[in-house]
Amino acid sequence: MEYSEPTPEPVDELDELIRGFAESGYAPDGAEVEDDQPHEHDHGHGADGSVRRFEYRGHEVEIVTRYEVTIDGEPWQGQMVVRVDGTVTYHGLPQYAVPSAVDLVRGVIDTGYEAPEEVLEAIRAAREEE
Amino acid sequence: MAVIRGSILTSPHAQTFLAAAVDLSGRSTGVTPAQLNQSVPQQAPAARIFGPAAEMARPLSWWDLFTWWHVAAMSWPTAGGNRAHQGPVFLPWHRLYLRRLEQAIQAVSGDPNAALPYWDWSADGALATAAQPNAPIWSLQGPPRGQVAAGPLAQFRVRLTQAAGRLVVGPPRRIWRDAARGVPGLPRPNDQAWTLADGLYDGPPWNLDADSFRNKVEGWQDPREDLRRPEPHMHNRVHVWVGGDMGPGSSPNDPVFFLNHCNVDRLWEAWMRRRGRTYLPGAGQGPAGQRATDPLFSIVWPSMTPAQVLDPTESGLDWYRYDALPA
Repeated sequence: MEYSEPTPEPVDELDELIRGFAESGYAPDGAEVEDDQPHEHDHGHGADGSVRRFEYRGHEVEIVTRYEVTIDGEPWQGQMVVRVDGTVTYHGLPQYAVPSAVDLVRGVIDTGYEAPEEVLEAIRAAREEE
Repeated sequence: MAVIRGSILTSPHAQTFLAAAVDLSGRSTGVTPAQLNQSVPQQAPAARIFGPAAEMARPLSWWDLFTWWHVAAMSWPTAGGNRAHQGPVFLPWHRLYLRRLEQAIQAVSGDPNAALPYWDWSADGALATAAQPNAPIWSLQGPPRGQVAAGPLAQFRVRLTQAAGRLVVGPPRRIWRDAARGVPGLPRPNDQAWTLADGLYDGPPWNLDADSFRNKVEGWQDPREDLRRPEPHMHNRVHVWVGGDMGPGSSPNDPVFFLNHCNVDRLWEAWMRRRGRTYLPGAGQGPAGQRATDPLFSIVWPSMTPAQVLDPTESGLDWYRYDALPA
C-alpha cells in the first residue's frame, strides 16, 4: 500500500499542549536539579579518550583508553566509554555494557550499518549537511 | 478514572493502541527540529537534531516528539547524569513517559478508557529460542525481522534515527526489526522471578553496578553470574533481541518499545505489591536528579517527581492498574 501524508482531525487537547510548549521556547520542565553533593567521577570521557581513575594502596591511578575505529575503511565517530570494571559502553546503544569494544562495534554494525536503505539514506543525507 | 492495562494478546484496547500509533505518527506537532534545537544546550550534542535544511524545517509528528523526549532525557547535561536510564529514575521516568503517551492515545482515539497494552515477554522467553520470533505478538505488531510494511502498522512512519553519535532527521520511513540477532532469546520466567525476589529498590552506587531490583529489571545484572554483564538481561535484553529501531536511543520509534516498558512498569507494580510503595534514594541521599523529590525530565507536560508517581492506581493518581500481576 502506498503511503500518503495523513491530515488528521485536530484534537484541541493536544493543540493546547503544544501551544504551551511553544510559548516556553520548547524548554523541558525538570531539566535542572540542585546538586548539593560532591562527586567522585571514577570514569568519564575527554577529548583524548575514555578515562578511568581509582586509588590503590594510596596511589592515584588514571588510565586513558582511546579507540580508533574504522568500519569499511571509514572512521566511526561514536565515543566509547570504558568503565572501571573494563566493560565498554556507548551512548548510542543505551542497553549495552559489553566485555569488549569488539562486541560493541558488532552492535553498532547490526543496528546502524545493516539497516534498510531508507534508514541509511537519511543518515547519509544528514552527514552530508554537516 | 483508572484504566485497565492488559496483555497485547487479550486487551480490548490493543487495536486502539495500534491505530493511535499510526495516527500520532502522521499527526503534526507544528514543531520543527530546528525549533527543538533552539532549546538544546551546547553541552548536549546528542540531543541536537541534524539533517538537510528541508527536513529541519518540516514539523515533527507527535510520535517523533516522544522519541526526541527519550533521546533528550538521556542526553541532557545535568548533574544527575542520565535522566532516564542506568539509575533509580529508570522506573518512575518511564512511568511518567508512558502515561503521557497513554493520554495522547486517549485524546486522538476519543476513548477515555483506552489503555496501553503490555507484552509479557517472559512468557515468550519460555518458548524454544527458534520459536520466539513466531510468537503471537508478531502477528499483531508486524514482522519481527525486516521493515514493517504490512499489518496494522503498515502506514506507521518515523523520521528520527540515532546513528553514529548523531540524532538525524529524514523523510518519513518505516520502522525495522532484526529479532534474535543481538541475543538468541528473550528473558525467561526464572529471570523474572529472580528479579522480583530482590528486596531492595535501589542502593549505592545508584548506577548499573548497584545490586538492586531496579538494576536487575533494567537488565544490568546477570541472573546466572551475579554482577557480571556479559550480555544484556530483562528490559535491556528485550531491546537487543528485537533489534533494528529498538537498538539505539531513538528506540521509541518502534511501538514495541511501549509494550516492553509497559511490562517493565507492570513488574514494578508487582514488586511494590510485595514490598510497599517505596523508592530510594530519598531527599538528601544519592545523586542529584535521581532522588524521590527531584523533578523528572519532561517536555510538553509539566514535570512530576518519583514520589508523586509511585501509586498510579485508584488509591493514588487514579491513572491505571494492571489486569494481572506476576505472583
